[in-house]
Amino acid sequence: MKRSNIIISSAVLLLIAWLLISGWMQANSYNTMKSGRTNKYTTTIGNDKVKSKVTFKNIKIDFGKQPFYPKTSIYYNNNQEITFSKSLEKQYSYNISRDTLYLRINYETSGIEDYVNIGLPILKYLKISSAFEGTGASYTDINHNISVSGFNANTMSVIYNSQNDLKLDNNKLKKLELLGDFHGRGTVNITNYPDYDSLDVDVKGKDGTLILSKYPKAVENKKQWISIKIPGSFNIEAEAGASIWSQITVKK
Amino acid sequence: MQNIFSFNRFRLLVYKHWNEVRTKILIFIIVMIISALFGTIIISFLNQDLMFNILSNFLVLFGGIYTAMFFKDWSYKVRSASLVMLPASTFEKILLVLFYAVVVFVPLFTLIYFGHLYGLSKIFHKDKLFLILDQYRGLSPIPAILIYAVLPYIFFQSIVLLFSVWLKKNQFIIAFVLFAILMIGVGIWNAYFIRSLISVGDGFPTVSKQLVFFPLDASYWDNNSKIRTQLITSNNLVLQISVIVLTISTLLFYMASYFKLKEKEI
Repeated sequence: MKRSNIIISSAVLLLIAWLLISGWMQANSYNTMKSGRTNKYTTTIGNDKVKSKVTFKNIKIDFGKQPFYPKTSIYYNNNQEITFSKSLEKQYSYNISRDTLYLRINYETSGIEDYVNIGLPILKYLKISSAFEGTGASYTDINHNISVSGFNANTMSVIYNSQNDLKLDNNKLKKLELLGDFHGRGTVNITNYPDYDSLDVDVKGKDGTLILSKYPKAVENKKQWISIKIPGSFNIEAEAGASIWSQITVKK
Repeated sequence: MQNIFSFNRFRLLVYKHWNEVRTKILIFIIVMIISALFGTIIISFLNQDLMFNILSNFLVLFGGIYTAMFFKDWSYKVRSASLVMLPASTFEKILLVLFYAVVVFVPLFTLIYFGHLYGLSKIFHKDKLFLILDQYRGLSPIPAILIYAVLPYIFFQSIVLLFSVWLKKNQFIIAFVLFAILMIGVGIWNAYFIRSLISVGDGFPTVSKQLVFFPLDASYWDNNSKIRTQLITSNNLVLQISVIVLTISTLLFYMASYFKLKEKEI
């Protein structure tokens, strides 16, 4: 065998061997980190978890003037937790004052996988603001929305002054109050709306959209009180023939 | 040639090559500038991963074509004889390729690329941070460029060089196809292999970000589509050994190119 061929074979064998060994090492270190143990050579780079002992029931989020935003999930959780994807580093700031979380996001890198997760047991008030005025702000990726999910409570008030997409999903409330200015093409999607005994919507916005869905249950709530006040140019999406259409008032 | 290396002879060889191809090199630089400009004008200012991917892809493409040019004369009998008869040692011929395709090309292209990015970001995104000046994957800019762009490039370049010396025709195309198969194959293999080893409970993991050259990150997206969670682990030991393994493989491919050329000359 020629010397050159021996060298080529050695290099190829070395690469294949390392491919297998490195894969095994990676998987091994991943399992170690996932089980909560530490590994001398492995670090977690995916999450930036904030542990705050100060409890909050109100959230105010300001997305500033940026056209894009990370996926933001606000969800029911027994324990309070705030998690940011690692690449959001330096693009957010927050503080908790009394019982309100103030979160400011200045999202410049627009990485497709970025997220903010806020878990808390009680959410009374949520205000979302963004100052971006222009086109091209909405994501076609359905994962890039702001969601509020899993809360079972008496009342929740949501002020939405944004062009982004907000989804109120799988909540069961005595009363939901939704106010705000959906500038740009701001959209709010309320799923399982029969689970809200009282639904009070009074919003502004030329090209905004309100989506109302009975999904995942198709059961009417006979006790439900609904008041929806929207501008004339607003878009409404709801099941055809649903009684909710008769409770929509177009503002002049 | 009696001596393996003579500095004076090598200097003359470098001048000879420059005189022969300087017009082509100047055209090449213009093409690099235009490519860097168009390839990055819109999308890459704000995303470090994208910046490094584009840099390493451009390096691989342009550097690979450039390397293949050195031995394109193998295809023609008369010209291949003049290449063999060139009054320089085999080592000097290989070194000439490395001098132009690595020592000159890499800093030149990196400067053109980042120079453009910096200039454009100053024009179009005045208020934003130019991310390359910041750390990348825990490394300061120069080590990051060396590990994530230059090392992958010289690894590819060593394969192109080997194929250029080894094969008579379509050296670059064959090397490029092989390299593409290697990249895709390693990506698929990594995803499959690592996925089979990691434990994620009931959910189905998405293993992502295993770079082709460095199987660095294993990440898992929570199967709950409503809330996104991710765990990315970075194994520094894997990174360090990967750098060593790739460096050794690159050197071995260079050595193999040297012996292949020597065998051809005989």
